[in-house]
Amino acid sequence: MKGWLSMAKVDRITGDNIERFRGMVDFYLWKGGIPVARRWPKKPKPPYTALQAEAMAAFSLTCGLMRRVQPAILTAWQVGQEGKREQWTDSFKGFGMKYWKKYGDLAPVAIDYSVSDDGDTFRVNWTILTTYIDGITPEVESDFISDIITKADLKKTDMPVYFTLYDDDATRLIAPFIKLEV
Amino acid sequence: MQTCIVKGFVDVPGTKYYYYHGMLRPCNIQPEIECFDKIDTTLSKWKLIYDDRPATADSWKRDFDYLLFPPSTQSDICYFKFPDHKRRYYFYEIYYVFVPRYDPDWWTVHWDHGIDCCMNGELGVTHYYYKANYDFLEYGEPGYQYCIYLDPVTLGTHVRIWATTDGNLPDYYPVPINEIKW
Repeated sequence: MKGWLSMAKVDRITGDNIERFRGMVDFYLWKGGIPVARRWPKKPKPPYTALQAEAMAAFSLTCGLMRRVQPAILTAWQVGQEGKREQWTDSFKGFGMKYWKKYGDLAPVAIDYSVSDDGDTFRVNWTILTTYIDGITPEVESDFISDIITKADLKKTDMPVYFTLYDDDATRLIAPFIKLEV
Repeated sequence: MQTCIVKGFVDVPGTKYYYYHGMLRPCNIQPEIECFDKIDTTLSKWKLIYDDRPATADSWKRDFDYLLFPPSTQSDICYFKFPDHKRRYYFYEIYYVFVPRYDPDWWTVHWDHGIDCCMNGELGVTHYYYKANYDFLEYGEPGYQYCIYLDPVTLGTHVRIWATTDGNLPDYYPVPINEIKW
């Protein structure tokens, strides 16, 4: 196996090979069906760098936030991932880590939502949970509301309409795409 | 914060191309759909204070802590006044379910109507009653500080109470104002 390659196809995987190369080469079925071999994954060992430690903390704390999601948002996450290989938990963690990479702190999470429908217009109400990686700043749960959205503009299309949440710098916050029934 | 409205098929993955063993191969990724519209999303001027689903009983009341409701600029002119002599807005939503206990039976639903220093109410025999509106709270002696009274109450009933965030009446409501019996 050439040094610059991280993965290679093999003819077949045998128990003998798995045991012989354990710790050096990892054999598995890629995409569920193609036998491949790759370098044995190396998890960083302590002492961790400050950045590694913070990344691990950010990941762990972001995972913990998944439990805070209320049923309405949870349903939206699950419905949105149907038919996809990626689970909603992967998307959740992915958005969280991208936000941390950009801002160095935990991403705000939409833990609940509702839509106030006034007939020709509607507003989206969000409940946002903001937590902080420093472990000292207390978390804040706040209600946010969008400005009025006019339905007429959205009806002029055959495509489905969804909404989600970004910050003012166009960074996606941890919120699913939620389908809007116009 | 911005609520991003998208038109498109968010469940159809995007494609990114990678070189794999010298061959250009496609890979499914999260779809990147431009926002059709970005709607300003700001802190709500209403805050959900109580969210109750009472169990079946002959009666039920929602006690309130007046300190959770910021004072308005209007003076409280009632005989029994709030300690700071200021009126307080609140928004109530009552989804009421009625199952007769005997024949004949009827229901009554009451809510604080502080502008007239009393409670207002409605009675009927329908299975359901819905009312959402804003009003002023009425101060009561400790132990008699309640804003909603239901008689009787059946499982399935849902009562929510909002306070303003700054004492002033916002120019929108948490849910549309409405009243129906059916």
